[in-house]
Amino acid sequence: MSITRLIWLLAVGGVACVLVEVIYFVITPNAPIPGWYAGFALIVGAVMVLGAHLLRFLIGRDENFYGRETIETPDEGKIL
Amino acid sequence: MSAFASLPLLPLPALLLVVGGLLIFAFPSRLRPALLIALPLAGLLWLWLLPEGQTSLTLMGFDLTPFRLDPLSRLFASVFFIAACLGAVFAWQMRDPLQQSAAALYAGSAIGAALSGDLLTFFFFWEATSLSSFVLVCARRSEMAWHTGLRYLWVQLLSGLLLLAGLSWMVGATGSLSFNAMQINSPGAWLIFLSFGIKAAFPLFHTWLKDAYPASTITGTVFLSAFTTKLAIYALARGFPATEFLIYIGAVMALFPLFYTMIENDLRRVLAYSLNDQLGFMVVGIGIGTPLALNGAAAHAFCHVLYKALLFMSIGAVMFRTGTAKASELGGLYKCMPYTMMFYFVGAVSIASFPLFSGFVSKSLILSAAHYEHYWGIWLILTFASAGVLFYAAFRIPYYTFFNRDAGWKVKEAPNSMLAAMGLTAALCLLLGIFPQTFYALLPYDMNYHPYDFPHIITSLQLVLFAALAFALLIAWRLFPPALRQLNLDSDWFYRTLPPRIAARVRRAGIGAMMQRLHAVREGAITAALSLRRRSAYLSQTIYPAGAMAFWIAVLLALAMIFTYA
Repeated sequence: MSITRLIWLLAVGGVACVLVEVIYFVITPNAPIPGWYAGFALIVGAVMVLGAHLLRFLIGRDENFYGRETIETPDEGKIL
Repeated sequence: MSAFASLPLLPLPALLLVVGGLLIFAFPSRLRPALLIALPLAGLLWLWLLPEGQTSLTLMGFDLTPFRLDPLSRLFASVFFIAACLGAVFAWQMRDPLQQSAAALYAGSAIGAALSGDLLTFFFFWEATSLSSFVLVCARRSEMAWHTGLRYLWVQLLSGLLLLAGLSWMVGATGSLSFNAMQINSPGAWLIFLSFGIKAAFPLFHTWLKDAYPASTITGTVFLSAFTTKLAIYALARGFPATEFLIYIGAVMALFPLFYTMIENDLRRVLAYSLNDQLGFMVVGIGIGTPLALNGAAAHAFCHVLYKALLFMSIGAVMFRTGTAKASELGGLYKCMPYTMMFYFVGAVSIASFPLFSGFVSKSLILSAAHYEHYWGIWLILTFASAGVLFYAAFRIPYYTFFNRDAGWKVKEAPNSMLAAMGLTAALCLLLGIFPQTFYALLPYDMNYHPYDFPHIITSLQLVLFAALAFALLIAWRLFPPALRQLNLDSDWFYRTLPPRIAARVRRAGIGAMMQRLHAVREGAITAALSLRRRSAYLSQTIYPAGAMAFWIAVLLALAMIFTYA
């Protein structure tokens, strides 16, 4: 599946969810505001990505920053 | 049968694992994996045959409660038994007797601590978990594992010493060793709180977690993920419920590791940060302290042991086949390891609180408790963290491991024993999510809570779908942080880098000048000692309480640790 098709699929699914919530909001008193969580999820994504780039810029270092002790020997990862 | 159903003097179901762990060397290597599975199963069965209650004995003038079984201790002991059993199934192919023994001892000690009713018994088991888990951290027997293990041991022993200092202070002040809810209004209580906080990976004390777990073996990490931190959560729930301070600590814990999970290259380190993040939810629940919140913390700890074990198992299986857990080196494994990927996704949607999975029914309790108690800011932070979990657990890790580019791996699917362990754990994650009321009946406090109402389900679905949409857009626009071979600094920088730098600077300053300074310091010390001698209350004539002595030992240990790395 291409990324464009995936984006369309998720967008359609997400909008369908919001529409259901709008209907629920209309027929139910004291229902949560429709679409709040949808917007919030998008904001969280943006904040996390911005934060991650900033953090990497500030604290990202070379893999061997702490010296030899951080280097894995070949096939060390396969040890059960 | 009735002998097994009467309350024992000691926490025998836990000691079953401890003794089994010590004797495991005597068994042939083919029998050991089966024994490692049978022991926790037998222990779990025994635990559930026992009635609630406690046993007491007097030892050297102290009234001890070596065994206490109530809903909270039963819940934690049960999940520890289950985790030990699932870990043993996952480790079926492992033939290292030292690791097998350490795993059984570690699980047994954690269960013993959860079942102990006094601080002294708790301390012994607490320390036993430190020593046995140290063996698991070092089990790779490489230079990296050894260095990491030593750092881990220092931190764990510091926690133990603080606990010893705190309990000595408490027994001096109150004359009681009972382990019940405490107020943080004395140095003793503060020391105990700090001790629990170190093992619960409070901010700034958390680096042992992300340092040690990725350094262990594939099976070792699965065991490590289950016990130490959840035992600390049990200890906080037992000792410091409704301590408001914890709410804010938990909120910080839930938030800051999220950003590390987005840039870490080692996927097991990502999961370690994720563990830290989920502990934050539990700590918030304990801090709020209402029955709903405490149930939420206990329930989330229970579910977390399972889905985190599942995530570590899946990445462990990938490591077993490829030899690496570096996101920058993986990709395209969905073709070779489809079942591992499927089980990974069960763990991922569980941690992401997707309806019908375990995380949904436990995290909802904590979020609802924050909502009901009007902690709006905390609720918003926890909701942010819930959405943030999706980005690394449900999207980033599987994207870089199973999809993304084809990294050229032509490997076999995980061994059957690993698949069986993952399958069983995944089934438990689903069962807890599908039958929440059965699970809620096991929780320490009575409550009437229904997680599956329409607004809750529809908002959860929205959160998942729009977070997935955001991720897909970020990938398509090439804005998502790529997986890079790099190291990210954390607060361990202070004790891993600063002391060597200071030592190097001192060396550069010249030995002669340093000797002159040392001479001056010595002269000053002698003068001070002579002036002290003239006082009537001379040092050697003063009686110091055991708590104070233990505290200063802890300080000395910390100094020794700093100078070791210098």
